[in-house]
Amino acid sequence: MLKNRSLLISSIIAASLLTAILISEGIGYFILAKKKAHWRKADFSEINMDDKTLQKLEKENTRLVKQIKKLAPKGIYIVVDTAKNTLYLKKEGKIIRQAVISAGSGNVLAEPGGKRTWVFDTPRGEFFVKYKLKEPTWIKPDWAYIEEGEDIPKKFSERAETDVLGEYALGFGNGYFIHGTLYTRLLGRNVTHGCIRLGDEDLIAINKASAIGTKIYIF
Amino acid sequence: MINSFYYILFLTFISSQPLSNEKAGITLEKNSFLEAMFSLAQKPDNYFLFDIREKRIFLMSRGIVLREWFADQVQFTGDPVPVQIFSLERKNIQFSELRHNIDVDDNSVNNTDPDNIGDNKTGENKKEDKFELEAVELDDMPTSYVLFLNGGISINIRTHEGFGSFFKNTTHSIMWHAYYPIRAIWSSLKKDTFTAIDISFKDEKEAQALFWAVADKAQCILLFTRSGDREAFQF
Repeated sequence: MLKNRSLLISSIIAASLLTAILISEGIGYFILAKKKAHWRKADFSEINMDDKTLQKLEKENTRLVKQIKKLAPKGIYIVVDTAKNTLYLKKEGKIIRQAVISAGSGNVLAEPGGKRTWVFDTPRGEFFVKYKLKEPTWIKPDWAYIEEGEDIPKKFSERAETDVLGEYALGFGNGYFIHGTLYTRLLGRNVTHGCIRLGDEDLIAINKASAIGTKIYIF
Repeated sequence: MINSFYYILFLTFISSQPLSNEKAGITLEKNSFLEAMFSLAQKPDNYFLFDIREKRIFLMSRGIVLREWFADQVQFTGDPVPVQIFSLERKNIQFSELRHNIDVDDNSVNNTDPDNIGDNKTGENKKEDKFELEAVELDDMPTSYVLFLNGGISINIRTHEGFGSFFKNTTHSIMWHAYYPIRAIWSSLKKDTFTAIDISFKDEKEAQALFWAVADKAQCILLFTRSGDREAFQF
């Protein structure tokens, strides 16, 4: 008897809950359908605009398109896809050369017992070639020694390392470069500390095609 | 790409002649769109344009398209979204969660830069067989995630094919048919707005590449083209 009563109460509660949910769902669907009507067709009936204002607005729109167009890069520019590890040399939106690169590893290095932390990302956004170097020398930064578990040298001259960055290096700010590599088998992988590595032939071509001020877009 | 983009922009100005109110409305919307585009293009940061009805996503900088994604399915529900700039407030999965920490004490294994492994400067790694690359790469990116924008907008990105697709599709159906109606009541009671957009890719690499490209605090424009004159905002 008691068992049947409990079962009955449970059934009533469950049925009530289910009904409440279904009613709520129905109301929700109704609200969403009302909102959806606005998606389908915009209501411009309240807009009151005379021809003169409309013409002015159209002129403004034409001006804005011109302004946006002015912001686009002129001539050759570089686009770097760090996810695909691919560099595109472009002109007027068309790809004129495509190269496999190595971009930043995204790893984090914390100085043992220290306060400094480095995140090895290739920076994103718009940059430009600030300087071009031939046969560049790598001045090893602190993180390179920390990562290798070595002591940081006191003399600046001890940091210089030649023949590791390839024939050319294009600096785009904050110590980041597009440069060559000894480790061409790792091209196509995210292995660097933020710089962009290229194979020898591609590096020569990119260096030749770009000048100081050439825009670089990285994503 | 750049030419086609401006051609497309040009198309926005050669729409057919609608009724005067509608023409004024469309011109106003175009103006909002171009104002937003110009504002974003003035900054050196990358930004996104989600063309919802055309199922296309553009990553842009300075008014040029850097990359384009073609979604397979796009759904949206909730409140209509005005043509304006929105900012990414958060993702449900953070990029930082995917990073590896370099263990300095054991750099023979965990050193992430193979340039620094061993003394062999020719690039041939003596420990090649043991070498495992620890880096954040495209394959590490999630295939299913949510982007939360300001204004109560959430963009759910997923793949409907491949590994775990049954589970993902079921979750999506529950969200779409059970959760969002309740959410609509809740937002009506609270008098706030909510918009849910569901973007689905066939290829999971596309979803991963989008996650990669969406930087923290990224800004975007959502284009829904509410007018009857679809051509006006054709992309």
